[in-house]
Amino acid sequence: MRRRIPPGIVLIGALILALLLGALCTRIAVDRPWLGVDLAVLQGGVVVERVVDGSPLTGSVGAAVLAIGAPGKAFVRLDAADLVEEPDALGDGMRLRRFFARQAQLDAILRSDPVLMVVEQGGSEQTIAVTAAPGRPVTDLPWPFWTQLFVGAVGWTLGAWVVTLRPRDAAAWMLLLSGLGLAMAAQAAAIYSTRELALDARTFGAVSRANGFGTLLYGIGMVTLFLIYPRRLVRGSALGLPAAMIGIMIFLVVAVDWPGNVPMVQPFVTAIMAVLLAAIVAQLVANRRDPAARAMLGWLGLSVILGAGGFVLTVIIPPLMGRPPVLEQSTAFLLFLIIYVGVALGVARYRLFDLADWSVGVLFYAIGVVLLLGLDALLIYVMAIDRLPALSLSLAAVCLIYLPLRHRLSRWSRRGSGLPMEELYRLITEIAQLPDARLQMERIKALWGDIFHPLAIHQVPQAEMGTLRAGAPILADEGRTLLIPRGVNTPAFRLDYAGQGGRLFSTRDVRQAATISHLLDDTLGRHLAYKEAVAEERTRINRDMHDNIGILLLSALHSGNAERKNTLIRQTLSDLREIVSNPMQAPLPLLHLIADLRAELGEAVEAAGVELVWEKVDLPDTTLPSQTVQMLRAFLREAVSNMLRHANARRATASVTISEGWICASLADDGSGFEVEDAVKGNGLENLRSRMLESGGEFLIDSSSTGTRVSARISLAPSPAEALG
Amino acid sequence: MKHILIVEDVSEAQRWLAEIVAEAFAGARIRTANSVRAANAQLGHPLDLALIDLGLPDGSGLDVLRNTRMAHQNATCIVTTVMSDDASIVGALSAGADGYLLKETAPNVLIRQLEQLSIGLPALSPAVARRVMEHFRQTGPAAEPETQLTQREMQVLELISRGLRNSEVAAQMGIASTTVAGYIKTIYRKLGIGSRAEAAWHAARLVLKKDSTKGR
Repeated sequence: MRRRIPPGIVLIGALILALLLGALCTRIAVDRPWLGVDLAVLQGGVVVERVVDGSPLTGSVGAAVLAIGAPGKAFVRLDAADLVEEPDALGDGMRLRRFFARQAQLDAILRSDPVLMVVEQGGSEQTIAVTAAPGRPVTDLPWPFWTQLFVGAVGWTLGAWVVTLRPRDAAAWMLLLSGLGLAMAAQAAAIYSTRELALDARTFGAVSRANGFGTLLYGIGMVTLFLIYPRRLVRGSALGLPAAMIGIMIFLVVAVDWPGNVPMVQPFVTAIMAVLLAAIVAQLVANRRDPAARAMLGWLGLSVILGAGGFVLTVIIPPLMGRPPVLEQSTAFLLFLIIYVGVALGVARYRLFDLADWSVGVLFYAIGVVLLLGLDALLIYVMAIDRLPALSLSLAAVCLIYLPLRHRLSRWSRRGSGLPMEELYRLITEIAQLPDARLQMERIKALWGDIFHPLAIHQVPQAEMGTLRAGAPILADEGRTLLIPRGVNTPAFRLDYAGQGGRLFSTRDVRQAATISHLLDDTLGRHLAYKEAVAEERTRINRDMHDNIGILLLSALHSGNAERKNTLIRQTLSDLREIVSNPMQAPLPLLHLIADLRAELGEAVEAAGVELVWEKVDLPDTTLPSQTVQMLRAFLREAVSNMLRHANARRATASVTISEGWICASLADDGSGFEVEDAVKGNGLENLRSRMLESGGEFLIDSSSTGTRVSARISLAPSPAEALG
Repeated sequence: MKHILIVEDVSEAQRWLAEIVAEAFAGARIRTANSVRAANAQLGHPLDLALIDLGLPDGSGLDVLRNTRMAHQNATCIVTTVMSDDASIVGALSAGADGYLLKETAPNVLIRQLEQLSIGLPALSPAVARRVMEHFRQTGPAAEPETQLTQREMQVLELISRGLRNSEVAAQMGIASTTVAGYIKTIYRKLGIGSRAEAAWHAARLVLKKDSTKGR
């Protein structure tokens, strides 16, 4: 298997190549004699617009330059055509030949020392001798030079970017081909369009050929691209037709009788533009039923029409019709940037060329690395300072300017859910807390809408989802649809056309949907469980209040005996403490109840000097209905307090047993006994006895002079009222 | 027990507690406080025993407990409460309380418990014992060995949680009642160790507070 180089590295290579090419162009541009003047065309003549400090021409700014010459060489009269930015626009082969011949003559003069310039100012002519510097300073190169280099570099880099990520995609290669063409055309133009006055014949010939070659190469790339992308309109060898035809043209222009055929370039480019337009329209028609493809075409097609079409319209067509260009060619090259910005945005938003949004990250990565290297190189070699400070400075520049910029750009180009995580969490929690299930479903639907802005969103029966696993959304219909299966507490949804139909769902959307779906389901589930627990707890407290606290307080209220009142209130407080201590623990396990009672009653009898022994019985680890708990507790408390008050005992035995639906409790003491009816009257035992008998239980007091035995039998089945509760 | 502080905000309960304390410790000097502030103000006096209510109008009795612990290392600190849940009682024990009393307890029982506490015989109710067991179970094997209970200590807790009195525990394990009391005290101490870091934080906070008040 072939080892793949990471796309970021390939891209860095492409970027470095672009930079080297730019450096080569810059070297060509500066490596020639330099007079230190800016010449401009004014009313058909050539005038001095600006001169460098210390030049002999300092007094001649605004003067007309009539001719230049050199000792031993014929003077050449300057005319406006000598300064033309793009010789291709001169019209016919003869004028072109004359132009190139004069450029060679002028170049020869510029290489002499001194250069004699005949200038006319205020009606008087004078000849000024100027010594041309051997090279042009880099800083003298005008903005148009750099913008054209930049446009070329961008076209090449973006093409390389798409190819590194889609190496098997012919459309991507076509984009790269057009990028290469643009780079050749723009960077070659940068050299000759910003010349001071003249280039030597060899250089001019080469860069002019490169410009024509690049322009036509761009045409091949673009036309072929729209013949196959987004839909393959032309198949087989017909696809090679544009390449073949334009290729012949390239051969004619570059290799046959140069520059005789150069004037054909511009009309031919206009024709290519028309074909390109036709191809884009054909694509629109072919893709009219495919919103995704239409969206991509919208971006790419519109960008190409604006960029390349704008260039043709402002620079090429006016001269063909005998008018001056609307924009300078060097400025018009900036229009091409629209195309590449369009490509980048298209990839980020519509998966143009099927590139996922992470691919933008690769581009930024490569740019970051190259920028770092570039800044370094710039600082080291141009500013000629030490390596270490240069590295630090470029690092600082990347950190302070580029990285924050990159971060914002990346965030903007990704345009995620638009909902930050904390906002999402707040929304989901809000939904979970809604009291009405129907309202909840509506809000969940609205939430999905807010996240993905789909054109359509439907709640669907799970059956339609097939075997889709809960919490695992999938893409359907090539990213046009996102299916979100139902969770335990959330319904299933079908989302069509993300971003109001403007983009496709990506795998990143799937991951996001899975996370949100899971979070939503989980939060809803938790909230439901919480609500159930709260309700359960409330029921328990209500029951305890009713069965226990209520009865104790009522007894206390109606008790005439102050000491008895105190006892009852103490028990109430004690039971209240137990209720608040045991949340979520209903009903109380029997073993815990007995343990608590042993401790409570033990304290009381111990303080009174009585020994209380519990009979060892194996009680099951079970729970009792609340009413039974209250009765058992009340019985043992009353029995003990009765014993302490009346029986005069030294020792007592308590026992609790369970058998066949009944719980039996008894307290036997060795006291002197008492009159049962007198002792029972007016205290809790009487009340207890009637309650037990009502619920089908038994209550017995057997008192003699050798001791007293109080026993009760309480039903384990909850009473009908409680079963209903 | 010569110097006793009662921190209680309900005046009837305060009077009642004072009567009980006076009965249990004849001749003791009893001071009272009804808030965290008032209690802190009393900490300058000598102190042998403090009865501290958990719910005070201007804060938690736990703060009073921590301050008392810092000011009087040898004083016996007892948390008094009514209707407090078992968890807050365990919290108080972790914060360094030597024991706790439930205010709904009958006076004769309460006097007895006080007397026992003052001679170093702490009591533990089954419900609180269950909480303590739960606490140590949750502390788990990852905890420092010194914060874990020994088998004997666990056995004591287990028996108490089943409702056995100290004397019954002693009988069942074949040891003296005072040994059972010793185990209970160790259990309290180990409860406290786990929360020492928190206590240190509280202490630091209080010192800072004091400094800032001084500055004013």
